Amino acid sequence: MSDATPEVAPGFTGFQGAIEAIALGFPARFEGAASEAALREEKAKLLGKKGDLTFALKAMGALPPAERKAAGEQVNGLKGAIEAAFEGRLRAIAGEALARELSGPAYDLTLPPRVASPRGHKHPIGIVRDEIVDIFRSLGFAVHDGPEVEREDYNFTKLGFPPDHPATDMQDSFWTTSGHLLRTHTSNVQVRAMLGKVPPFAFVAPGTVYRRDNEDATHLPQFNQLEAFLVDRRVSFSHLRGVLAEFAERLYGPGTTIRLRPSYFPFVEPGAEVDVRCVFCKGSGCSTCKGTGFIEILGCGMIHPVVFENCGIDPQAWTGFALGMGLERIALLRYGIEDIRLLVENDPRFLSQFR
Amino acid sequence: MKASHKWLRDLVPALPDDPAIIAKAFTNGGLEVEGVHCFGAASAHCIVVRVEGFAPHPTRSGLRLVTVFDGAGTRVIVCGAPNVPEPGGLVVLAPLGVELPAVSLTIAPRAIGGVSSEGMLCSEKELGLSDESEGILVFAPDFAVPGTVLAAAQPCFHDWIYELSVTPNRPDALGHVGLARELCALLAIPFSLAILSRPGSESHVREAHAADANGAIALRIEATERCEAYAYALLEGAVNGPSPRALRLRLQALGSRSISKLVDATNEALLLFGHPVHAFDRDKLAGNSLTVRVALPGETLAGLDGVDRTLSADDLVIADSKGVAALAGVIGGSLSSVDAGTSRVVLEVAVFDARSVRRTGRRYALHTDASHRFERGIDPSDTNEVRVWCMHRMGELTGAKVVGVGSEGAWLLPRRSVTLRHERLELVTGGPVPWAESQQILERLGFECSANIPPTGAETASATYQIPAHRPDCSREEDLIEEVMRVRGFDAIPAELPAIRPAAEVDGRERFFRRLREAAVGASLYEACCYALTSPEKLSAAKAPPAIVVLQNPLHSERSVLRTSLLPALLDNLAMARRKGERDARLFTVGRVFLQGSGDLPAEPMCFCAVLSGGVSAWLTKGDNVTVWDAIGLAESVIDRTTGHRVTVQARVHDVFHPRASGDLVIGEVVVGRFGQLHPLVADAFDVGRETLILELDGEALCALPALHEAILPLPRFPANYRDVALVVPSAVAAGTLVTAIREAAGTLAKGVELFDRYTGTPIPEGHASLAFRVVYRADERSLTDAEVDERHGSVLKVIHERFGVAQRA
Repeated sequence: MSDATPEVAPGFTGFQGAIEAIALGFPARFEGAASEAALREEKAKLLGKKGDLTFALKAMGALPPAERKAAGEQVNGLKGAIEAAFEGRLRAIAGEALARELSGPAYDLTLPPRVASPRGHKHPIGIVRDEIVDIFRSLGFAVHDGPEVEREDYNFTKLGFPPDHPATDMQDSFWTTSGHLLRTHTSNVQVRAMLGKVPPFAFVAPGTVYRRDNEDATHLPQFNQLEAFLVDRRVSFSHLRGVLAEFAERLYGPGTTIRLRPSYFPFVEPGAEVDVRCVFCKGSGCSTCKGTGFIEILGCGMIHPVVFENCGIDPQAWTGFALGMGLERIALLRYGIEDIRLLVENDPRFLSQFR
Repeated sequence: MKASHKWLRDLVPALPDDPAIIAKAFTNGGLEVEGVHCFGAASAHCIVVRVEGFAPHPTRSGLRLVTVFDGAGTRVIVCGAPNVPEPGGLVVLAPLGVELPAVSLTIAPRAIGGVSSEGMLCSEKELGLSDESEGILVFAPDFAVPGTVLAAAQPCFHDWIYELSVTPNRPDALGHVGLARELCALLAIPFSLAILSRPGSESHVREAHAADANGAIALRIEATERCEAYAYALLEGAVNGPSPRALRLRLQALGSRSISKLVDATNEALLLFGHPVHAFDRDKLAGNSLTVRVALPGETLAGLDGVDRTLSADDLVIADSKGVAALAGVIGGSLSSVDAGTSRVVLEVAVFDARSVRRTGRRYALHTDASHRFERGIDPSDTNEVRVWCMHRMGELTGAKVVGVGSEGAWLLPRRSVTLRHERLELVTGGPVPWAESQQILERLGFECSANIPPTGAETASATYQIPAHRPDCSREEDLIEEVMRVRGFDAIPAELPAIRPAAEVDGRERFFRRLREAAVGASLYEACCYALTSPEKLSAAKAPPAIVVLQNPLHSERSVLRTSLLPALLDNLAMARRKGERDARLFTVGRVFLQGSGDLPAEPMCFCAVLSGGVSAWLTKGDNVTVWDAIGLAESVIDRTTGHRVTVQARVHDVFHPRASGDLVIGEVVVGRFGQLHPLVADAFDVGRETLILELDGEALCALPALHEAILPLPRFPANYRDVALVVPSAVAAGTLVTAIREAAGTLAKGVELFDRYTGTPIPEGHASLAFRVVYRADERSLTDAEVDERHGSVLKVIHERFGVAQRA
């Protein structure tokens, strides 16, 4: 036997010689292929249309018929061996590639993340309003709307504000040239609801209101309120306290206590102001609560019978309560915002801090 | 309202001497105490000492070394005051370590010109007792024993002052008598004003009446509807001058400047009763008559504040025989005012109409202690009591004698009565309230029970009360219920959650607009909260419709109308951020605009507006500036997330936008918004970047869109085949036109046509672009063969070539 050569010379005519050359040569040829592509190339040189084995197969036709069967078996056997060796080498190459891939240097994970769409931000007033609306909704109140440009009658008179009375000083108004005013509180929604609907009902009314205050660190001429009111048979002050206590715990966390102080709003009687135990110092006194341990957050009371009468509801048959709060105040306290004007400047660096 | 702890306790000695208890009672009762201040805090630490002698300072001229005796021993004090008394005189010493908050000083051992001073001799100013003082405090030798603490030597040197926030319904709390009555009711202490009664005052008035029979002053009320009652007293022989220290300091502590004995007596009456009184100098009044009437055309008054006013026919005045002497209940006239030389005084105690006083006060922007009280409604029933008290006080201070009194009108009016039902009281409270307790509370507050009917069968117990004249705010059953509830304390009422039957949902809009806001936040926008108040100029600069709602009384011209567009405020925010160096901003706001309505009120539709400016984010490369396609993408995303509807774009020029990048957003037949790049001139006017993009959505149109069919489509059962085609087209051919044409040509087998690449530059000729589309072919009921797809795609290319004359790119 001559030494095995990897090449099969075109002029070679002996079938047996060709087969033997292939059988001896292919393992080394596959072993020498370093990549999958090189391996496939080697395989094609053996099994492809112009491959060595194909060539040998064609040469088989020249054999005497008696030898053909054995030669055919020999060729098929060799083909199977080549296929198996190919698969083996292929797995080995993939394994080597994976090992190389796994042992490469770690990626630089300190590069900035690739964000499909950076997050947006709700405005703090929007956050607080949505949260409070949801609290009242879960207690059974439905949202009710009212106009921002309102009749004096609905903003003041029907709510029991006496004409030329200092009570209106509490709410200095913007008047329009057509004789209406910009609502000074969301309480106009009470009037709208009572005129349009038959009790019982429970509504929550968030909205923008206007008062003629010059803009400074603690005032804006335009701000947001939220009002909630319930009218039903036998609604009592005790129910008001129940709703307030629930609201305070949901907004400020379990265990938050409230304190009610008598106060005056023309459209409720009795009227009260509600303080929550300071969420910053837990009642021991700090600069936010000015050492009192409590923070005033809303006004409330039993709906005044005059309001019912003005809206065509029998105050002997129906009672109700109303409560109202300024959303700016709640947002300022929650986020520690010291200047209310930040809320309307909409500086992106400010807005981006709200989650 | 400032209230004096000492004065309240002078009136009712049984009140506790603890300001914390009093303050808590006031607050819990509804008169909020905003602060408690110590008046003359240093007086509790300074002592009265006797001057033993003095010598000049060895090195400093103008200073003296004063030897004082402090009850135990002597000390040497360096003193620069010119009025150190002769030996035997008493002065006030601030010993070492004492703090003088009024002058921000703590007395520390200190050598002055080589002599160390063992304390400081104090003036009223240094003790925080007055704003100005000349020299140190000096007392007569019998004032106190040396060593006595100043506050103990005389009570006027030390007090606690309550800063009360008095709600407008409680005029009775604007005087110490009312406050004392309130405290007694809250603390369950018997209330009596015996201390104020003047023995023989009734007979005194009667005698004066008799003396006045010859008609010292002819009194007439013309404007009877504005002046229920007017009472006066004429006093003679007053010797006016500075008030005694105790009165002066009391007024000072309550924020009222001491002027003279006569004026101070009127201010003291006001602070005591809450009933304003006025003093005229009789010798400055013309003639013998006083008339209460409205001002005549052209009448003027030189006010005590130094301002001359031409009066309105709506002003109530007090006139003498020549003209107006005072604006009733608001301010006196300088020509008839009391001065140092006044000896004959007309003391006025009247009941003026609250609304009239208020209108006059507002007309001249005058808010005085008197008008503040009249506006809220004073107690008419104490008119005579106040007059008697004040004329006595004037007599006590100045030696004046009453020589005449007179009055018109009636101040003792019949009292209203109100019935309180026990059942109603408990219903409103929401818990049991002992019936007897309610009666005790009301009686302590001055409500007199005239009938108490016990419960009978089905009827609840009830009681009828007479409303006291000092409570003009009370007129119905609920007022009595409130009194009982607040005095018992709100915290005594149990909390109970009501069973609420949820009302039919009327809040679909709130949910919708919240979804819209959340979609915008999800699309990387920042929510802004904007002023609705703007100016016509801003609206015009943003090409918005002119304002419908115009303010009569704007604070300033920048905020004089309500917006018709959300855009100007957002552009202002953008400009502000830009000035601060923030060029990348993506803001949106959702809110109402104010347009012409169908009735007398404006329409207030909800709108959405977003502004985009600066760069878009890209990974590790410098991002591009925002483009109009960012605005369109934002519109699609926000509308899809909010409504589920797909929006289409129609080019349309709006004058606020760049004419080359301006369009409408349409769903079906409905225009739901518009978008565009800001017009360069508008951008310049607002000082924002010219690349700024705008998206405006009509909230009402979006909210009114029909709900989408909710059932899902079946999934495709057969595979899709894809074919790509790149076309070189003139730039003027819109890609969308080609997409539509390809889709039409491909027929129902084409399930999608997508532009996936756009290329310009070599080798594409100038003015052209290569557009690459991918067409998705799929049949619903079978697998397509390659040949079938090739044939269909070939016919598509042919149609496109024929219609647009463009060839497939090689």
